[in-house]
Amino acid sequence: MPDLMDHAYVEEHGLVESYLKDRLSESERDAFEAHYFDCSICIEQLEMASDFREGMLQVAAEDTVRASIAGIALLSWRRRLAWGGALLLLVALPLGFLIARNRGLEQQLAEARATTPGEDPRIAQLEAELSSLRQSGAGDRQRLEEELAKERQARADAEKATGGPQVNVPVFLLAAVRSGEDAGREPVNRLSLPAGADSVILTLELATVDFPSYRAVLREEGGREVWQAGSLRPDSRDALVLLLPARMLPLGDYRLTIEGGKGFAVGDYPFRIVR
Amino acid sequence: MQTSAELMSDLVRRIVAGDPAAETELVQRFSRATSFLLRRLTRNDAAAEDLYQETFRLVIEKVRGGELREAERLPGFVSSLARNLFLGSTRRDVRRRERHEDSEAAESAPDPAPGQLAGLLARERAATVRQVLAELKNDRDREILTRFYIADQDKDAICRDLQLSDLHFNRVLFRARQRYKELYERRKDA
Repeated sequence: MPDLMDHAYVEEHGLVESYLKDRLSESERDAFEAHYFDCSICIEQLEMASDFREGMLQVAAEDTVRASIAGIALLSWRRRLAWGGALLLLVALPLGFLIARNRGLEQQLAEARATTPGEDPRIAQLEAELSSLRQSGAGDRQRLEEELAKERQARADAEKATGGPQVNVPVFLLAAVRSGEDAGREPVNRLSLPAGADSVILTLELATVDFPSYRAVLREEGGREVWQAGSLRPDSRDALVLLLPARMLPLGDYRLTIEGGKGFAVGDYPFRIVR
Repeated sequence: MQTSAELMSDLVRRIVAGDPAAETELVQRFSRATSFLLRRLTRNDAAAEDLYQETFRLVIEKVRGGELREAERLPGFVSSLARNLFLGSTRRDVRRRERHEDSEAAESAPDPAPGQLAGLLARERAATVRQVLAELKNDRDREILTRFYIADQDKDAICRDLQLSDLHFNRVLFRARQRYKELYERRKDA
């Protein structure tokens, strides 16, 4: 590499793109910066390439958010159906049981009236039992209706918190580090999370796709596990895209570990949440 | 016609001699690149603007004081000073947080959230990129751009996977960026 870079060298080695991707060594980067500070062609190319690159990332972010929201919406419908079915059973089974018992008692009462004219202690007993059952049935029904209303409210709150449309969801591409490479160093990934963000999207490209599915474990700096998930399948670009609630990530250092097979470490993604 | 080295020597000599026009010329000459570098490093327009002012204040002070010994290295001197100022400000932020002065740091730190204008520009940029992508002739060209820019894959790896020549790869990138530039300039003019 020449001490003072010329434009031909920049063109020949494609330094504009390598610089924007942070793929230059420190000395190359410094030399290229010294060059483009006095090269109108390079600065023009850098601005345009950087702008285009940002645009591409914005398009990807918009598409990822759309896909995530569609996924969440789908999940909500499934959850809604499951909840609806469960609640219907919850209400229908005891009521059905009460109705069946009422019918049985009414039938017994009618039979008793038909076969034994006049006042009979058995009739009085059956009438009292039926009246008590009607009252308790009404009480149960009210209790179940209240529970149903509570469940509906809880579900609506949960959906509001997780499933509502969100805009400008922060998206970060995490770089992996080799095991032990970052010991004592500051995390290479610094995620500047806007204060009002509800969710954050983390994209990680896997170094290997030798496993059918992967497991992700997110830990705080002290090692405490914050979140984990298994059976994660990479997308067509061999990347995992994770949508996490921002409240899960207060300021601090974290380590996202991806494992494949029986605990084989595939990648380590240390990152720092800053504001 | 003067070479770049001669231009730099002349500029430095005039600044040392106390010529204010030379100082203005220096700022004009390196303004665009300094601004680009600082925006790239800080990812925050307000922070970049602060460091931009500080960079030129220090550059002029040091050049006036004769601290730049090789005048032809003036561009590198400006770029490294801008970078060092950024690193210094980052270290200060880290130290402040370590001293549990978060509330004070938060008050003085620029808001990292993108403003409305930045958001609007980002959406316009994305719309322009979408137009470029829609105009591409085939899916493979779209895949090249996606793998290169979004998945951040190496050019060599993409060429190997898709059995492309360097030339084809460069052509796709060049054409996409050219088209983006045309659309961008049209949008700017409008």
